[in-house]
Amino acid sequence: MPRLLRIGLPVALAALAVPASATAHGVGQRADLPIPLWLFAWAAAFVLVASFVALSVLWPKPVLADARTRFLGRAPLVLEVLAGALGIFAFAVIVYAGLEGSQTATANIAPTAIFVLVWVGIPFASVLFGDVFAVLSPWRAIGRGVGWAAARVGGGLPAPIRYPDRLGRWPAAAMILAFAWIELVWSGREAPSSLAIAALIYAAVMLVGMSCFGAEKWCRNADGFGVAFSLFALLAPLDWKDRRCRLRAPLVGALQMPQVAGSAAVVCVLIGSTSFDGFSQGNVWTGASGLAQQLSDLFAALGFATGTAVEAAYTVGLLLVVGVIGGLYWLAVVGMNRSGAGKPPTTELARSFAHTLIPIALAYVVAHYFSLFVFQGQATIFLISDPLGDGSDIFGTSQSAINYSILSANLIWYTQVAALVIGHVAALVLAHDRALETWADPRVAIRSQYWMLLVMVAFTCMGLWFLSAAAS
Amino acid sequence: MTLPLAHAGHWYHVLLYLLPILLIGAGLWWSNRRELRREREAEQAPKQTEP
Repeated sequence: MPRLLRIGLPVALAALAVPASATAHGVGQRADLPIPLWLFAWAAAFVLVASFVALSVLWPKPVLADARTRFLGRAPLVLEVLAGALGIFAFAVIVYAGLEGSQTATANIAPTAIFVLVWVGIPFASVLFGDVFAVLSPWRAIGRGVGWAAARVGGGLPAPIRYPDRLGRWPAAAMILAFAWIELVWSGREAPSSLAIAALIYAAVMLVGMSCFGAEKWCRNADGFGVAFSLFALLAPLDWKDRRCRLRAPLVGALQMPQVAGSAAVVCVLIGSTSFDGFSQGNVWTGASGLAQQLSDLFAALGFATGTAVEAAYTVGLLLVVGVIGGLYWLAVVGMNRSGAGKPPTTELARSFAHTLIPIALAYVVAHYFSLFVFQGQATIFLISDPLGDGSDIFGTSQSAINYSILSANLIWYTQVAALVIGHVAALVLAHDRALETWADPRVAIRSQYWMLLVMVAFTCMGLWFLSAAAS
Repeated sequence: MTLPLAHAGHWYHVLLYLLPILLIGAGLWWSNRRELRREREAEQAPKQTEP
């Protein structure tokens, strides 16, 4: 028997015996999976290492930047105008339903529209068809409409204020963090009227920002939704520019991510907030003596009211997980910086490699939210007939129900694992290609990616731990 | 605030997710050191052969 097998076989058998004790505590095990959940993390780590080795051997020079695209066609202007009008109409319906409709979250269309159709559905649509939110965005449509009307009537709008370069996409990162706080922390998120008011405040901030700095500049940098969805759209096979559509190879679009201040922060907040969503459902956080309880007790001891203490605890948790994600990425960048000759500055590297996090952000969205999208998305069928929850039946579908048997627990788990592994392998591919562009010596380029590989493995294992904790 | 050490069974499984990271980290650290040493030796070798 080869030495590796002699040592490996008993170790593997012993490892398979370990989960018995874990199962006894109800931790991380589904009854109908053939192997324990944590072994998926080991398998995923192995896939990443194998991918890294394969890239080192088979991908000796950068190729993504030179990938060709194919012109497919041009969309008519009227389509863009109609999409903008549809976005404004949908926004008005959501806000009106939130303010005037039933205040039961499941009976009102506003929560489902915001948390499921927009926050989860649009990323999925963006990955398939390109930046759909750019044409559906109600504030962008209003801004462009006002600009067009002003040009026709009064010779145009006054010149916008110059947008500070150092701000970059930091406002978008802050907006996404604020939305994540509303989604995961705020006790008022269940009330449709609170959500509608939050949506109105967001729209007002967008409109004021656009009027000061110009619609395009503001939407590209400060609209949290617009920036987040445009990043996911970079992974789409369709590349839209000035209504011209081109077909491109997978991952090529990610190279177009602007290397501006805050670009890495946006993706880290996206990954971190989704991670916290998973983490906050696990036993370590929610258990009887879990971190949430201990932090809440701490804030209560400081004089906070019970509800505020819980919100404060969740806020700390959210910031902590986002900080961990940002810290890990920064660790990878610092490691790269120290890897060899011709070191680019750390800040430059952080921006230059930020696009590698986009597939990971998408993987986290798929892993954490695709089952929510499939299940709760079905609620749209009856909510669209009765958006206010007042018993109306506009399209005759108000009596339909959600079919929970459409996805099995195993299928959800396998999809989650596949999404995480594919997302991280895609990130490794992007990082490898960018490293070959950054360092002239391929050996230095590959060595620089040791840190990136380690961080990718850490992200994958952490993601799977969060998912398994949430599933148990 | 007490540390969650009382009942390790509730959290020790985290170590199973941590272990691959530590193993791969150790492997990469060792590989990096070996490569750097080889490069240093390769740089020093021509100098030693000079008259």
